Amino acid sequence: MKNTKGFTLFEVLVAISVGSILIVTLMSLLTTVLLTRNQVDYTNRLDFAVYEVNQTMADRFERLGYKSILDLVEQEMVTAAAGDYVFLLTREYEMAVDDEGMIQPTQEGYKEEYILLLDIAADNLYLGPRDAFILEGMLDNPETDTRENHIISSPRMNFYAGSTITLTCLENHNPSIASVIDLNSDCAHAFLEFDLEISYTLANGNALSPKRYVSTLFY
Amino acid sequence: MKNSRGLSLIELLAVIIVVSVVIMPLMFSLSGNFRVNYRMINRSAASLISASAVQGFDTIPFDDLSSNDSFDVATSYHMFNRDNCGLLVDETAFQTSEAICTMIFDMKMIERTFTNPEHFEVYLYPYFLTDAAEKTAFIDAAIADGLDARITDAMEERIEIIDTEYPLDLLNITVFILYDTETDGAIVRNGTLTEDWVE
Repeated sequence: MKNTKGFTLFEVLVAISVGSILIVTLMSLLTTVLLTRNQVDYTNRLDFAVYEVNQTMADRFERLGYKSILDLVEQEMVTAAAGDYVFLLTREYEMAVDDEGMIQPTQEGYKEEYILLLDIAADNLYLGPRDAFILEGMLDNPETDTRENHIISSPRMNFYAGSTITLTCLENHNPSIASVIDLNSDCAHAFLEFDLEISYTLANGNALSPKRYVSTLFY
Repeated sequence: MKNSRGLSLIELLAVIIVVSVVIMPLMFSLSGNFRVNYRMINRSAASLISASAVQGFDTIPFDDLSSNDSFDVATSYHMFNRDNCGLLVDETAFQTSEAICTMIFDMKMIERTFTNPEHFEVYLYPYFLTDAAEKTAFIDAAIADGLDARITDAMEERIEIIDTEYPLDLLNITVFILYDTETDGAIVRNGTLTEDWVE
């Protein structure tokens, strides 16, 4: 061994400085990549949860052929709290099955009623037959069907106060009412704007910061 | 230690280059994944918006859509985008047809909206034409106008030929949304519009 002096203090300090800069740079790069990946993963889950809800509603609006939508004022009809949003959707048939099982035209029209409900406290968006939403003990509520069977939002979605659903009536269901745009009237066609502040609970129980989604659907 | 000179500048640069060569593809791969992900969400949003656009146009009175002083869909196609909704005549008692049209092109899904008029277009065209030559001339005119091949293909596929006057008021609708300019990715959704026959 020709040189057994080792490093001088200056060399060690320079080596530590250069090494630290390299390590800090690499660590920060790694941290950024991991954080971004986690953020993208979280946002994706949220995006697709919102996509799924919108897709479900669009399908139901289109395929079930609801004929009218009503912004419910009488919220005591269903167990909804202040700040929740409740809409009554009606599907009408010009034909109905009579007592003998025959399909007959009906003068009055046969109606089925559905409820679209945003329940912020329960963190759920529901869409299902109206009977499932009636307060227990009132009317003839079939206990076999409850609102819990008609949740269309992901159980991991959390809704925040301030989320809104706005109904803009485009055409009145009753043609004789020609000129008044009344949000509480029965609309044949409407424009629904969902302004929702949502977070998503991950499998490990963490819910990251909420994100605001504005979605629009034609009814 | 026989050699205690440390690394030369060349050796140091060589190490940096080798490390960069290893890291760069990984970084490109990562950013590529982000781009694919972004594109996928754009596609999902475009898909939902296109479906809602068909439904939205179905809420506009049929007479407003089929013909007015500015266009006549019985004889040629008509393209709507966010810049020409004003061509729709106001005949409804509630929101105007123009307002509904504007709402359609302003639609938002999963925080995505397609505001460029060239990227979100709605084409209305006849459901029936009376003979094959008329259909060929119709498609040729559309191609000559520079319409995207995906739209003219939809027209080719959907226009029916019948040899008598068509019995129903029907229109074809094709919604075109270019959701990614880099890959020319587009959603093309077709539908049919008719007059409300039950009130």
